[in-house]
Amino acid sequence: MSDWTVTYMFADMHLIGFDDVEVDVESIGGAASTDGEGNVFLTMHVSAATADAAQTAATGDLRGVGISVEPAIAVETLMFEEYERRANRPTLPVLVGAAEVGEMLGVTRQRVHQLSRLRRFPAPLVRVRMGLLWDERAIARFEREWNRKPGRPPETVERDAAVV
Amino acid sequence: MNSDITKLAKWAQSQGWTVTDDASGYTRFLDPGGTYIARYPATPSNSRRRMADLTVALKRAGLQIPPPSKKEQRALRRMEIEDE
Repeated sequence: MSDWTVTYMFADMHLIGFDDVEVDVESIGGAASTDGEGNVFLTMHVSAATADAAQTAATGDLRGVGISVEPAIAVETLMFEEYERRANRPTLPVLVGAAEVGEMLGVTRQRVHQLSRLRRFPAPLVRVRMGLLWDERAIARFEREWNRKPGRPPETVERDAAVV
Repeated sequence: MNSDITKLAKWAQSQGWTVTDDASGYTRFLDPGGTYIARYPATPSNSRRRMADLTVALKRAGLQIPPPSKKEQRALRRMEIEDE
């Protein structure tokens, strides 16, 4: 037997009478919440051998307090460890500005702005008046794959030809 | 307010959320638009589950959770080493 978390999503809180449902769900160890857009989520925690059995048990527990899951528009069943791992996962990546990118790549901020014009340089996640912010992981990957060629770029054949 | 959620409640407030304790002993979370999202009891029967439920609900409603700072990451690593 494993611990499972089963979450039901309902599209309209007025149809299920949210306030009463919240009390009923909490009385059997579950939780109710909204998403600010009119959707309601009922979360149940059950012990079961499989995901299917967990969903059957959670549906039965809710039915026991008079809640039908038939109007649900989505159901998600996760082992509790995975549910908790997702709960604790940050929603934002580590963001870095030009100064931090410069430190990571060993170049100046001015050089970072030059590099940022390269097609293969990561696109910034955020553009604000004070500057650009990148996902640190994208910069780290660029740093690993960057074929760095120090010094002045070699003159092209065309330019040599033009001088002659 | 239950001490388990003090940090999360302060963070939510710093992001424009309203966090209030009601007469029944629940801490209620309202998003920046004033819409009720979820609540946390003063004495949950299973605080680990309830904390996960609350965090999932707040994130689903748009509360951004930043990654731990470098200082917090160092503290977490120290705790993991001590546990071993």
